[in-house]
Amino acid sequence: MASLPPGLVWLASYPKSGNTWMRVLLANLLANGDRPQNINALPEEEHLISRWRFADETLIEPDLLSQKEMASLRRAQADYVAATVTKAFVCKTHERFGEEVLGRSARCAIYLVRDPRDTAISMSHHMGVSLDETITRMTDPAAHTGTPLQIRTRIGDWAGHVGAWTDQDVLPVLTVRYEDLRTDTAASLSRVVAFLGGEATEAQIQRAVGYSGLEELQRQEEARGFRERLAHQKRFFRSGLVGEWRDVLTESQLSVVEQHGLKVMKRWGYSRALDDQG
Amino acid sequence: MQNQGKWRQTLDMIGASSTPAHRYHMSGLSVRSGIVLPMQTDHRPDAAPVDVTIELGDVPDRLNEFTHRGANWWSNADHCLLILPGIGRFLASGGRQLTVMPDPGIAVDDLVVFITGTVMSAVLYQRGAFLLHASAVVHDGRAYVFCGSSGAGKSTLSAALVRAGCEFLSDDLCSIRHSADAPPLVEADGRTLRLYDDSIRTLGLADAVGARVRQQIEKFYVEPPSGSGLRAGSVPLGAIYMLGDANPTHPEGLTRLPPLDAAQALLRESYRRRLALAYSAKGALAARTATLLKYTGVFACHRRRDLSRLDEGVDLLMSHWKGLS
Repeated sequence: MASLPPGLVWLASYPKSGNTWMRVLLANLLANGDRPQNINALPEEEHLISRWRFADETLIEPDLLSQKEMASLRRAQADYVAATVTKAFVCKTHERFGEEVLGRSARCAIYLVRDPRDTAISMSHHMGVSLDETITRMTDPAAHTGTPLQIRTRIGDWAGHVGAWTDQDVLPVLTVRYEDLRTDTAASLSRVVAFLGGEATEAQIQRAVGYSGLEELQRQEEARGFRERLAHQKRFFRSGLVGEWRDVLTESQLSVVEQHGLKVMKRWGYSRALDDQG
Repeated sequence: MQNQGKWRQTLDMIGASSTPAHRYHMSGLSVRSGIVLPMQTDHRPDAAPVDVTIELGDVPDRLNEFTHRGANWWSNADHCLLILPGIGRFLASGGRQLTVMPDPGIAVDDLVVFITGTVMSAVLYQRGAFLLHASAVVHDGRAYVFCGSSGAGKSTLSAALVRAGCEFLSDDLCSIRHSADAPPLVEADGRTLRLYDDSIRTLGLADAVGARVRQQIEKFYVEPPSGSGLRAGSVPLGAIYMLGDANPTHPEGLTRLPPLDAAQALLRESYRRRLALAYSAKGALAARTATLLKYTGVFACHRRRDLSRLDEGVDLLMSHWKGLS
């Protein structure tokens, strides 16, 4: 059986960078099942940003606390979970890293990074807002998110988000490029399992990859819906394309994204549109 | 109207910090408090002997021996310690004593919401109570209970039902008393409503608003619309509703939950579920839930988060009650 060592692991990314896909891959790998895992069985309460879970573990409703008080109790919650979890808990988060909120006790982190120009298109579809509005949000260091089910968290701007996770020295971190995950899913998943100190045979990796393909995810969403799809979305699992930005983003939109994040983009292998064409 | 005056006086007194003992009625218990609480004072001449005492005092920073713990709390059979960094420390002892120690520079009135909620629930659990995270109203002599996470609209719906003619019974925390062979009863309670500004405006309750729940929080204590006095006793339970958002997989409306789903929902909506588990013998909570379900229907109530459609929810529930009797 494929397995991972016990402990809290952050599965972090800027939104729409492959986080859900990696969750599905790991769920299929660890289930050792003979059919694909139900995408709707990735429970909300497995996220530490669940309002219900926060109240359950701290005995306090989040809406009774200031942001500073929340940060302090969220850190206590993360440290408590890390200290008491008895199996592998790969916890999804889109939050910008900050030890004052996420603590220091997680084993490590997997960070997924994606070309921000493709992320912008995906986020625009996801949020149901224009590309220009999405790009404004992606360049806002103060950007936050929160829903009736999830506590308010800081996302920040794209470049700051990547830097906060990949440059921090609190936790060991493995960065996985979304584009590499698309190109060779099995190789990327194997890297993740090895980094986490887990065990999986090549056959188990291949089976998990086969059960987690975009067509399978779209088939399940078509048949049963996906609980994380927002009301305005036609579907959650869209195209997953790499390089879609070449056909979609205007020159001025490209200019804003690249001006904001070019240094970080280059570090992770995303060249400027102009250089790309040249 | 005399009662309304007393409510207002009490709500306006929040912040007066420590004073000579006041008497309150919480979840069926008679409480004597050295701290002014945001609820109606129990002036009844026949008020029962004191069950629980609340006072300011020293609270330790650890429990050396504990059987259960969470991120910021520890409990054993006799004590439950809650620590809120930058706010204060709280100790519930022996089902009789609640001690509060504010952190330096923190006003007592900024702590009362934790005293009347989480810490009082620890005292109640130490006494063997069964608590739901719920609000309740009374209609035709039956109590209707609305469970849901924070923000699900329990208080707003209860206030709208009271405006439509129901009697206010409790907000946020519901204590249910039941035995193996008798219908369950919802305990009378003196706590007040807590509402956000948009709900207050929608319900037309601006004149009934008291102090903020906490200094930095935009949520307010609000006198219940009817201004009703303290109830003399507990009320037979009519039905329990689990409030949730309507969505493509859960359309608007009421659905009776099958027994297993109902039992799981009740456990999930136990008030401070981990405390309930900490103070229940193994399997006891499940057994008490099963007993409750022998007498009571549990219904999923899916609604749109839209205050302008609040009255539709009121009509839906009141029609439902006619069919239940």
